[in-house]
Amino acid sequence: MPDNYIQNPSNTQNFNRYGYVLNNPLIYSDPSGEIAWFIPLIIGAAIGAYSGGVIANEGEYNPIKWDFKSGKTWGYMFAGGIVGGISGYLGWSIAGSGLPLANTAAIAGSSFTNSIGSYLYTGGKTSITINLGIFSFDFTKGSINFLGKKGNTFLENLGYSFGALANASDIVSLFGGGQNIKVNSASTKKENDWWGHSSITDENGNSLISVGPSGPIEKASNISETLRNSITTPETGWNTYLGDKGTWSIDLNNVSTKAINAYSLKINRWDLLINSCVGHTTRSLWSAGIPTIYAFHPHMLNLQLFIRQIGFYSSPYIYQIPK
Amino acid sequence: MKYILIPLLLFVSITESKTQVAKFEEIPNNILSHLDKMGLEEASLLNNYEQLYFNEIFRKVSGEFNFEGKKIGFLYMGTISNKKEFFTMEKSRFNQNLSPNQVTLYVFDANQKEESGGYDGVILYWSKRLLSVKEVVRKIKIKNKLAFIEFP
Repeated sequence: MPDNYIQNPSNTQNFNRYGYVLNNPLIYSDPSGEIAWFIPLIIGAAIGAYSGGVIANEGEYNPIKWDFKSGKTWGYMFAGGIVGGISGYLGWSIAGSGLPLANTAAIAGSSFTNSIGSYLYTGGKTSITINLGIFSFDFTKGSINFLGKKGNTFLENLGYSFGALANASDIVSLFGGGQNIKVNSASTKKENDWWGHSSITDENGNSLISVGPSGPIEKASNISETLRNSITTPETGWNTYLGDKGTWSIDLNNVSTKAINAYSLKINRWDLLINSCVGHTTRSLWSAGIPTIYAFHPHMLNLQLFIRQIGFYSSPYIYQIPK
Repeated sequence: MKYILIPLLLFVSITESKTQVAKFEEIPNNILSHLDKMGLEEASLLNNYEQLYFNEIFRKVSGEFNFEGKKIGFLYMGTISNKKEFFTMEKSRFNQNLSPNQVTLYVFDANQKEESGGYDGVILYWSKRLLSVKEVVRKIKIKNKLAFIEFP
């Protein structure tokens, strides 16, 4: 068969940091985050209700053993749920507010609100505390707890670990460019895009990083052919697929776009040889203080980031579950 | 070391030669200035402005193929699209000072034209995978069937 396709890849050397957005990028801007407001609220309410139940039942962790005939159990659970829900919503609002150190501030705001509420509905049985990510301060006891402290439960350390991740990206954002960004994973369900695509867009929907090949690549039948096809000039202005049907976007709050841009400007052809689009996205996130594991598929990156966000919204409460 | 470097550089130059660079700046102003008159409808037949535009976009690689009076199909990421969607994106990228859509042109021979339902060619844009002509013809055929179902 004659070679009757004509390839004309577009601009390949334009290190323009602005990417494609549909007609109106503003409609894709969600400054409060992809995690919808009700998710942090539900997380806060659920952990709050559980904590209330534990407190009402003198530290019993197993809900099956709780005394559900007691009005105290139901009352504490209800109050804990309300307090946790309000705290969760507050945290979500702070995280997307654009404040400096927004992630840490969100954890601090949620934890402090939750602890005051718990203190009130339990009649002073719990402490008033504040969580600042990797550590927390107990105002009642005058003590500090932190990641890895002797005697911590696994859940406490888990909560502080997520807090530490929040601290890390916040600290990098202090060097400039802190924004609410989206990490986009284009669908791979479409019949002929078997790779999908990973990209990062800023709060206005402009591309921060979206690297693809300089032209469509033929499907290879062996490794050497794959390598040969892979050596191509990177197209740093690749379509982000933001807003396209099937594109899964995860919002991250207060991320240093300055760090991502700095990474983006250093990309050269050899990076494409050893990295896919998601490789570049992953590495740029590392530069912004967001460590993730490179797992080849864009959806796997987004799944990690989704868990990270859930962890952020859980960390203000986990350490407050009574021991 | 040179025995490693020479084949490597040769190899790189070969792969590089496949790449065509296109920027909006390379398109004459008398064509670009009419971008607002392109992609106003989904119809596959190109209007005068669109013909000129595509002739210019593919000038370096399309040989003797002329878009004048041609019926062209569009595929976005390998899925069915249309002219209006293509130009909506193209205009958006132009307004943002980006590069044009990344495109690949498939020119059909007589048999493929007949099989596809009268298309002279297809423009595939923003696809990481280079489709075979056979696949492209099949997709455009499906488009025709769907159009028949929707608008008998």
